[in-house]
Amino acid sequence: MLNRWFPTIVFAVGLFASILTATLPERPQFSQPDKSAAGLAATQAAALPASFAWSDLPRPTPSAHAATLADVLPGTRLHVAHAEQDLEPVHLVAAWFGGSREGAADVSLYQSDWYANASWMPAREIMTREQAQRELGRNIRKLGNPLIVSEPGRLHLFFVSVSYGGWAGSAINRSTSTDGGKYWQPSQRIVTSPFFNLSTLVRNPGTWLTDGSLGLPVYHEFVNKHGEWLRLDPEGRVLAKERMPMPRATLQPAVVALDSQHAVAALRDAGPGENQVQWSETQDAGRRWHAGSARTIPNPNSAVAMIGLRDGSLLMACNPIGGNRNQLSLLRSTDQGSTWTLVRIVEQSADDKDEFSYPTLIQDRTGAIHLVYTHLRQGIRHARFTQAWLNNPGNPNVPAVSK
Amino acid sequence: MSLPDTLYLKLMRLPYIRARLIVLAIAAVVFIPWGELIVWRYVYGFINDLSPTTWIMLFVWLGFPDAFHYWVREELPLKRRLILCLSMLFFYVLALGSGPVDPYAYGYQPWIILAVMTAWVVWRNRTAPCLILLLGVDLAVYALHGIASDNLWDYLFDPVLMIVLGISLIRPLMSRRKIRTQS
Repeated sequence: MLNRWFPTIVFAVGLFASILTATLPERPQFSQPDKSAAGLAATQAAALPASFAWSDLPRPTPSAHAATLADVLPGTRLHVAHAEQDLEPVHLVAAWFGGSREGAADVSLYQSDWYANASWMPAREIMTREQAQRELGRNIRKLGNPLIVSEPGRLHLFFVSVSYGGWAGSAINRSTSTDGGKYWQPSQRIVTSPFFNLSTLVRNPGTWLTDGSLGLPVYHEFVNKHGEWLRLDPEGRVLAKERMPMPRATLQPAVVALDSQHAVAALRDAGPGENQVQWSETQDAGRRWHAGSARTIPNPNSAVAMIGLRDGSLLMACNPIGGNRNQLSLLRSTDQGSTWTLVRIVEQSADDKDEFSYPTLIQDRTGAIHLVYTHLRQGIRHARFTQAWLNNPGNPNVPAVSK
Repeated sequence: MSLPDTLYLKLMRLPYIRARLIVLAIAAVVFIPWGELIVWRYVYGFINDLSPTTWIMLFVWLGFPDAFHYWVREELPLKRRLILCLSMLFFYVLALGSGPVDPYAYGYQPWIILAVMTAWVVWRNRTAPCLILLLGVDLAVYALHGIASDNLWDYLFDPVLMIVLGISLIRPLMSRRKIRTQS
């Protein structure tokens, strides 16, 4: 009797335990600041005088690429310390990968900190290939694309690692810091693909949801190139995954939530022929994504950054020229991304081989806007400006970064 | 004869001894640190976590070969193995982006998969007890979060299992073809 029913009983126990464990996350909603806080932040941002300045981050290695930038927010996840945020100076943390060249065995992840009215602090290695091998318990051939996402009291570091092959063989790893990036917890791998966990990469920042989960735009490169949307719980467990279907090969979605349900994504065009910034939208907080028509912005198969500003407009940093990455520009949209206007060329060169690429944009808690980007593959450059400067930036065709 | 002696003799009985010795030798090479070098890191870097299904089948094959072969004969005949192997292949092709649907995504909130598995177990309750037992263990490991993945599919099968299944099909399919050619 027992023998006959034993397998069924084991299955029933396993099933019951699975039902208890399996996640049933809340219906997703993008986190939006309450109206009074948003109004105050918008007024504060608009009041900043027009300014534009730039500086270089420390260059500890001959090659540097793919910088990320985050505003370190005081408080805790459950208690957003508005008063402390007002008192404490802005603290930004940037990370990038650097070494002798992209993909080399000596490439590490570097971090530098910036405090308001101060220069960038010396860069320090936060993840070496050997350290990643130890922490992840596996062979790691190369590291790449760090991404720092900030929430009150905690920073999340995501980065890609490759055990074998090229970037298409990447997997995402995650670490956290609760002291503003001084110490990073040992990293852990996130499993996002069934086939040897191959080919999920991260580049652009995520969007917080009301239940504390993080919507993270990622992308897939093996066999087919497309954007994906991951929903991670506060401990980094994957709650859901959704593909961003597009008619062309696309990479590196940059997502901005417009309200609690509606978000737009600008994607790098990795398809053949004439390339333009590709577009995708969700109307249910990331549960389903729909392809939109490509924007009329040339895209030479290069990364795009996009953020929503406090005045409700969208700001994009990209290489809006055909062919190469020797011009980096800022574009702005006041109609939720339907049409875009060139605000100002940030930096350009007549030499096609020069590269000003992989931009990251953030608007800090005071309303100042920061842009970091790869400068000639030799270092990371930081530009900071205000909404007032965007409203009156001068001749758009004259590069804002002067030699 | 004592129980350990009996077990030892059973375990080392021919004709499986060679295969088991090879597997044990490979395991020794892979897991034992050779100075700074641990071969497992290189293997793990490629295959990642294996599903509990693969580990259990490997364990049964190594430790209880008679039971393993009886199980395969009774519950995993050629046709079922072929269907499973092709289904896995189709799953991976879709999950890697060749199609509009990503079946892997359903494994993160696996209600549909659990419902289908339950229906299958009710249907096959009498005829596939070992497979049902295996699924029960897989689900228990999933509930205990036994491997790094949060996706139920990763607890049911993996590419290594698909490859092994595919290899196990080669000889029977070839011999069938040979018989057909002869007749």
